[in-house]
Amino acid sequence: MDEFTPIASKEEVEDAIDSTGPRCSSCDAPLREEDRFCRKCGLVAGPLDDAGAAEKKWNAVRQLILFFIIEAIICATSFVKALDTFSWMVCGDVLLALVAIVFVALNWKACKPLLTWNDFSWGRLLLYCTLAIVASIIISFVVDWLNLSLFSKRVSYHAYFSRYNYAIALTIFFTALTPSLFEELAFRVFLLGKLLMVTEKRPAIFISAFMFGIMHMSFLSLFWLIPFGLALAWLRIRHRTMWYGSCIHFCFNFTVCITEIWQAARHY
Amino acid sequence: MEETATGPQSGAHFCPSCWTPIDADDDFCNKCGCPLKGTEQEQRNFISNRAAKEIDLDEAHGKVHRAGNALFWIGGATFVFSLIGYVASADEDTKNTLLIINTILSAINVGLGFWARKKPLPAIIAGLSLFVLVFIVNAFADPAYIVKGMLFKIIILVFFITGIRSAIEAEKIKKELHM
Repeated sequence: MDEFTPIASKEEVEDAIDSTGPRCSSCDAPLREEDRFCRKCGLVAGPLDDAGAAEKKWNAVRQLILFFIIEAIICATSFVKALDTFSWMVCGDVLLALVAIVFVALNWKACKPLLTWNDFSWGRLLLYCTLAIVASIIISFVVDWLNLSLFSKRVSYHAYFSRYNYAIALTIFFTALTPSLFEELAFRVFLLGKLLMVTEKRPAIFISAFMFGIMHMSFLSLFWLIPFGLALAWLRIRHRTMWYGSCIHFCFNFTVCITEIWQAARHY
Repeated sequence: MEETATGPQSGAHFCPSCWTPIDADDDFCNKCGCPLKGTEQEQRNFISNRAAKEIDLDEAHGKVHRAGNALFWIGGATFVFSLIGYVASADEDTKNTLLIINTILSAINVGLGFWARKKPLPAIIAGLSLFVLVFIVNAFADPAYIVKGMLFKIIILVFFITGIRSAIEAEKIKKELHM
């Protein structure tokens, strides 16, 4: 019988195994699955955390807090009777838009990709918008019924603008168009982006929806605003764009406007 | 050169820092990063450094826990004061609405407090945002609210801020220790 001749030496086989497995990002020594630290250089196995990650997180939290305080102050002015005027409402909306633009501009590098719409699909857009319209109609009627049952009053954006010329155009502009752009820019582009720097995906989605919900300062609306915020945040992460959310937000609010205009026409 | 600790079985080697079994030709422990081929002084430094980091981690966890508890305190205080307000108020409509709103607020804070046990950082951020919003809204509605219970509000705010800072610090130490 012929003597068995190995094709490769033991070292060559080990090298071959090593070359396919994970390696230390610092010294390139092979790592075993159970290794937490490299056995050769002693550094943490796997990708190293980038320098100053904790400081970056803390900076992100500080920006979040500052952004939230500014937004809350602008929104809370609605509780001041002296500021319950059309002019101040316009000023408030302009300020909110400016805050969103400034914070996005300060984080332009991270926010820029979300302003593109690379995976645009008509079918998907149609599906999302249809769902938004259906949800809006259901919620409009439920909230209207709750307001009448609990507080014996009807809350209407259209009623607020009805005393001015071009009431329908104003209602649609301030209730549907501007929030769908600037709330998305503020909460889904800037705020969610910062939260994703601080925490994992799921908690970030939840906090952004929670902040979005409470910022509207209406307890009754909180029950549908948080799920709405969750859906928009999830879509922004899934599609890496703000535009699906923006369109959904517009369709949702636009349907509310149309429902209110229709109800107003029916009653008067 | 410092020899690694030898175990009960002949030939078995253990890390002098975490007592994990190690291979004789390893330069560093694969579980804690201890310099196995380093000098005695280097190994002592490593062990004391690691112990100091573990103490820092414990302290950070304590601050995070305290911030989580602050959510329960806010929830409790909101509920108690809303009950007092309910009994003291004569306006039927307002007092019922306020009781409902404060009960929901209280429940949200308690819920966030329980969430903070599992996910402290996001729960504390959410709690802080709610606390700030309630403060701002109340301050606009009634400026006297700013000075009411100021000490309690400052303490809660300090707990939240140090809690967030410590949660970030704890994550950093955990990564360094590879826990």
